[in-house]
Amino acid sequence: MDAYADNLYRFVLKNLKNEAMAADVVQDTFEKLWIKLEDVSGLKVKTYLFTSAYHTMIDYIRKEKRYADTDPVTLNEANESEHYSDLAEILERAVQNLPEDQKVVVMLRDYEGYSYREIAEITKLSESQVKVYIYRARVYLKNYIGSMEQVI
Amino acid sequence: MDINRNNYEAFLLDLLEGRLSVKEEQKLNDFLKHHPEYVADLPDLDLLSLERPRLTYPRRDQLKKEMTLADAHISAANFDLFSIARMEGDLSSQQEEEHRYMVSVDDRRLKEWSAWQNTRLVPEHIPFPGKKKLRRNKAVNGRVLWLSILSAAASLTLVLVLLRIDPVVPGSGLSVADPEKSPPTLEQPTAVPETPLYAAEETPLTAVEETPRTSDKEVPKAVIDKEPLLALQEDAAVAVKNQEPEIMLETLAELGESSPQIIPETIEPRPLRIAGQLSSNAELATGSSDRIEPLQLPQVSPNLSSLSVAQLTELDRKKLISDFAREHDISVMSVANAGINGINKLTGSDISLLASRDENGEVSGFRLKSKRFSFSRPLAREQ
Repeated sequence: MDAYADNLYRFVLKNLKNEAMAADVVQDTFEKLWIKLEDVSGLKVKTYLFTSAYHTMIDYIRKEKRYADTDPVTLNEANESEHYSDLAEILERAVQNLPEDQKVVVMLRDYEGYSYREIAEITKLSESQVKVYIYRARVYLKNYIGSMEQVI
Repeated sequence: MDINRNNYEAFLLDLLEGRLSVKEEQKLNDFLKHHPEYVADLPDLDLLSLERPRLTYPRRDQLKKEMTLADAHISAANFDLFSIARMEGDLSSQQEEEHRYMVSVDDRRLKEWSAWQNTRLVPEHIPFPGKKKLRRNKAVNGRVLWLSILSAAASLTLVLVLLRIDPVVPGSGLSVADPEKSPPTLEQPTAVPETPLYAAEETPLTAVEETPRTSDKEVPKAVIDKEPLLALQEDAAVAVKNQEPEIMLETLAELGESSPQIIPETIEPRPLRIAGQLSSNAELATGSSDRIEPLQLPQVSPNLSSLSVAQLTELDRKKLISDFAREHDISVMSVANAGINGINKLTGSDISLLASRDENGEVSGFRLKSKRFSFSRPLAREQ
């Protein structure tokens, strides 16, 4: 539970960017797990947690009207006056600029190491969609990092 | 519909879009022949019809490109795709080797590959601050369950206590089972009331003695089986015959020590006095009469018989409960209610315990009620 809680919290926090809301989502998710524990296979607990958290998170975003299916900002929109100390910060910034779907799948992929199928199961997307989103996210991140390196 | 100056434009539009029938088209032509002024204002009909543009999306092939690289070989065109696929672990060993080779021989590709690798997110450890709240609180559930079970057990015990009519010995404290209403058992040996004491030679007397040592103290009780009592009664009968006013039967205790029928484990050896009872019978005690009258035993409750070990234990238990309740200010009804609540929680039933009160407002009985049954019992005095 400890490891899952931390991972789940990181996943939600990175998406919501709000500690209180992220904590609420994690709390709600575990509450649902305890209620449905009889129905959740032991091997599927982590997937269940992330699936439930993902959908709860989407609900939170919609409630807060923060869910906007915006296109990723173009490279020119990046604030060139900002200074980034290292690659991690640049990457963090780039991830936040990703569309919600791409952000979620790439986080599940890199942070949690989920397979395409598992990500598709969590996000209710097709595997093909997951691949496309990951591909687009990688391309965007690479271009963003490249452009910021030039700026620096 | 006739064509006129007000609607001919609609017909013209239908004509352009091919919605007019042959007949309607003929009508429109006739109308325009008769009204050439409208024809002059019309644009060229051929110009009104737009040609469907034949545009081709320049990256059409890319739209159909599949992400699978099953049989593909690396090239400059698909290097990025291969790089991402290698990061994701989607390449076969041969494809990965091809990619590795291309990167190793070309510095520009190496730099590109390095840039691709930088897009991988590195998980950072962010501890969740409220982990304790996430745990399923089994301890509380277990505690509640145990409390419920204990409450249920206490309730059942209490109900049993309330339902039972405890032996109340009026007067002398000597209790004898009613042979008509209470069948003789080993624990409830038969004793015949209104039987002369010396007739006990034929009918073994089983007596439960309560000795009022002092006025307020607990009354000791004991079970005395047939044989020692038989011997005892023989002695008593002899003593009576010898007109001894009192027979101190402390020997009973001694008898009990030597006899296995007396149960000494549950009570301290206490001297039992039949003498006290005998002396209450004035005629017998004083020995004023030469003729010994039969001992008149008082009528007692039909359920009253000799006290068994269980009954003695019950007495001690009740005393303990009484002391505990007094000490902790716990009423019997509150304990009973707690127990009933426990039963309801465990079994999902809807039993309720109601107290009935007399005209003085004191609890005089109780009533157990549920959807399926309901019954009332008077409250035992000691409760």
